[in-house]
Amino acid sequence: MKHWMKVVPLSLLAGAGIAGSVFGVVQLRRAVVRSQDLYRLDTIGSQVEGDLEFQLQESRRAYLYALATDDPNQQLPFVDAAREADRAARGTIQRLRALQADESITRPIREFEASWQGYIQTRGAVIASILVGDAKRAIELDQREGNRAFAAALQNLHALKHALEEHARAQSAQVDGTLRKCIMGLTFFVAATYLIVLALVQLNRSRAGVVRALASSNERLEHAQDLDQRRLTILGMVVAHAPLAETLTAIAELPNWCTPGAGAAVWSNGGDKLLYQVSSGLPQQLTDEVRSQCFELDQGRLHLDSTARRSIESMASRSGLKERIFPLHNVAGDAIGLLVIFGPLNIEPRSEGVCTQMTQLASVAIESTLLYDRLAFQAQHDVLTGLPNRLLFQDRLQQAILRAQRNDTKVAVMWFDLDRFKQVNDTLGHRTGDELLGEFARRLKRSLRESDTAARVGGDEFVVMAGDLESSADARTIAAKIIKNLRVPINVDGYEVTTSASAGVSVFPEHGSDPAGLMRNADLAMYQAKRVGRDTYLVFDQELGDSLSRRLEIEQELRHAIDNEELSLMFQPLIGRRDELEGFEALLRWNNRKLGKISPAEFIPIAEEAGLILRIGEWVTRTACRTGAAWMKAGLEVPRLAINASGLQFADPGFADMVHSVLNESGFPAQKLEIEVTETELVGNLECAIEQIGRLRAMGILFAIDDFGTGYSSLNQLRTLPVDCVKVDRSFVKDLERISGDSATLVRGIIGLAHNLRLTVVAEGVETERQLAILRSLGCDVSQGFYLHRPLLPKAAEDLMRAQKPRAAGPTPEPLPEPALA
Amino acid sequence: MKTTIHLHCGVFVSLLCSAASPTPAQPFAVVVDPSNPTVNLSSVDLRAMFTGSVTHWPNQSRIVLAHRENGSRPNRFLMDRLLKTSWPDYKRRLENLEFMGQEPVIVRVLASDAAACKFVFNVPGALALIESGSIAEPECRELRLLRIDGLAPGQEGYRLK
Repeated sequence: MKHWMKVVPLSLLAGAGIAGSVFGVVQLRRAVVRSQDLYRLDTIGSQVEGDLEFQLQESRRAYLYALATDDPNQQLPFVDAAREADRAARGTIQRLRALQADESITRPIREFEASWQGYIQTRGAVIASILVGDAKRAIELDQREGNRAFAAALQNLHALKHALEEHARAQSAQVDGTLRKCIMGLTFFVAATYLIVLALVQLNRSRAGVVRALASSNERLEHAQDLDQRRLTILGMVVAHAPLAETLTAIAELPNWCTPGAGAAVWSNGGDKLLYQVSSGLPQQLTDEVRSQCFELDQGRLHLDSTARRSIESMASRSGLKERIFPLHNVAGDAIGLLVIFGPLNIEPRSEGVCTQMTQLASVAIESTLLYDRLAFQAQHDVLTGLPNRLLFQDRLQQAILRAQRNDTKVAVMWFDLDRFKQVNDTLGHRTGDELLGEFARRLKRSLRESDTAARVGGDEFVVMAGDLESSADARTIAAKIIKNLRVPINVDGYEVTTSASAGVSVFPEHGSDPAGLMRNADLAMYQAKRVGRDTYLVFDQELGDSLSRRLEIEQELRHAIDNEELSLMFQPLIGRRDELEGFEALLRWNNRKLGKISPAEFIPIAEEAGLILRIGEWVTRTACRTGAAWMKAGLEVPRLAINASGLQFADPGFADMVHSVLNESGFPAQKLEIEVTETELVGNLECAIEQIGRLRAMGILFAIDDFGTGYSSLNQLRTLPVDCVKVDRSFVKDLERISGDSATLVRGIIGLAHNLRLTVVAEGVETERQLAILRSLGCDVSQGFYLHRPLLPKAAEDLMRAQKPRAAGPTPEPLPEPALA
Repeated sequence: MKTTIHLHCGVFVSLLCSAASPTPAQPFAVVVDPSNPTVNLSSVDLRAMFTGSVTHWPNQSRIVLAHRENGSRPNRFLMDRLLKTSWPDYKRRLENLEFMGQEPVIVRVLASDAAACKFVFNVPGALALIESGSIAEPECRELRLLRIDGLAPGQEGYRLK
């Protein structure tokens, strides 16, 4: 029973007792008052009755004495005595009245007083008779009336006395009754006091109970705090990625701390390994049995079947303990372990909370470890193939290099790139591509020793490290073996895919002393292997490496050339037969802050290979048109501006639209723009180029065949391509001065052919006066070269235009027509 | 009325003349018991009462004369100034009246003014002549002081002095 359930009724009874005691006190007070009344009546009454009787007698005696003499002077003292007795009697009667008694007393008092007054009057007459000396009449009067009045007064006095006695008895009875009530009230008071004491005792007990409860609560709180501390410690171990075995051991110790003699065993599938931990509090026999207990792993996860449960129960019963089994799950609900708590049969109730916390802690620890291991694996491995990633590979390579330095051995780094993987991805889909990569990785691993490392470092790029090699030849052998293994067709989703790989090999210490250098050189070698033909490997060569390194560096820098405003245009004048300015050829220049001035002949091919040519070509077009427009706006008579275009630009379906947009944007007339392209550039995609040229010519743009006579030059193309001009390659011009050369004949033929097709002929690379003279003698329309003008800055070109004689005003250029739809 | 007050002009004049002569200054007072309804007496009536000529009060109650003893100032004043007689003559006169068949005059001689007052207090119809200075005594306080000819002791024209 709760303490308050005892205290409250006792308190109520105590309250009733207090009320009873108050009643008793009131009754006691009444009893005291009545007792006082009784005392007064008893004492005063008895005094009064005695006094009155005496006074009556005294009064009567006094006048009798007065009768004994005739001398009024002697009679008067007796009269005074009688009067004095009268006054005393009146005082006595006043005292009786002062009792303020009830009617039972006041009525006899009134009657006595009346009879007494009657006697007084009679006696007065008697006294008067005595005093006047008429004794006879006095005696007669006394005997006739005085005695009767006196007797009546005495009778009334006795009646009064009797009334007083009756009243005293009644008062006494009331006092007795009041005293009984008082006793009852006091009994209540005593009972109340007892109950109050009892309530206080109970209250004290309750308080003691509360104190005990507080102490128990405090103990539980301390226990909980201790448990929290242990839990925090365990969580700290989890956070700090302490070894799972240590964390599980700490968890397994919790039952023993909570209930002496209890302990726990934890099984967990730490990745692909089954771990178990046992608390130190368990009997040795049980510990040994736990360690020998095996659980099945179902796809890497702990599997607890009925057989295993019975086995655990048997273990516990043999040690005289009771077991409780708690499967451990991760957040997804998958079984990740098993917690078994062994303990005495009477495990404390609060152990339930501990069991729950242990289960949670163990689950968190195991899942956290698994997750951490997984994250650690993912941080160092490729998700798709499971191979180490670049970071782990570099680390292992570093270790291999250190070992090689100690052991004076070699380390080979092989960079593999799948051939035409993009084609597989594009045609068969990314899923197939992923499977292909996975199979490639597996084959790589199968081709390597356990100590070697294969890693995936890019989309279809893999790198292999083989250490402890005796010579570079070993590296070649391994590379050849891998490439051979990779040639075997792969069946992916019903498709038989035949793949191959190109590889580059670098060897420590010949080709680098650090992982980055070795990997870069292997990559360069692979790149070169790709260029020389696929499905092969090349060992890094320093000279090759240097050129490839510069190429890669140029490519890297070129990607930022436009944004860094490193590109510029120079304008080389095109001079007519009468030395008039026929136009300018815009020549691209690149001055890199790191590599310095780089020739277009070097960076343009790289831009084309790196896919940067479209952006660069657009920049050239826009810059040239803006410059020409600016010149025109400055009032200059601007001749045609020739820009060079790559064949890749003509392969771009948006090329014509881009040019049209630039012309509109800049306001430069299409008729003054000429686009030069080499025959070689157009050969790869001639039909598309012809279409693009047709659309551009429709806008009024002129076209020129650049470097005519070299590469894939074909007379047939002169007929096919819709061009306006051919530019004779500088190699022909250079040989014009040779006496025995055939260049003049070829140039004459080209010029004749072009003129027959009504094409303008421009000779490039004119560097001497004689060359110019020969060209002009052969009928060349326009010449350009250092002999005439070096490429000019825009300001110099502007000055040149100002120096030219004004030509007759030509027709105003027509509005630019819309490009024809592709 | 059986008894009447007889005014005797000669005596009265004589009384007034003697009262006008130089005497001790202390006046005398006439007191009756409180139940007596009379509040005022004429000098003639007063003399008649003391001489026995009038024996009853107007309410028919018997007049009782409370005399001071012979030789006392009130008695001398009564004898010498009011009744013009001597104590023995006075006593004889009263005895003669009884002898002649008249209703006897009740006379009681008291030893002091206080006794006289006490006597008057206890005897209805009693009348006493005392010194006015005794009025303040306890025995006399409860008595009624009669006016004489409408005047109280101390007033101008009061004759009992």
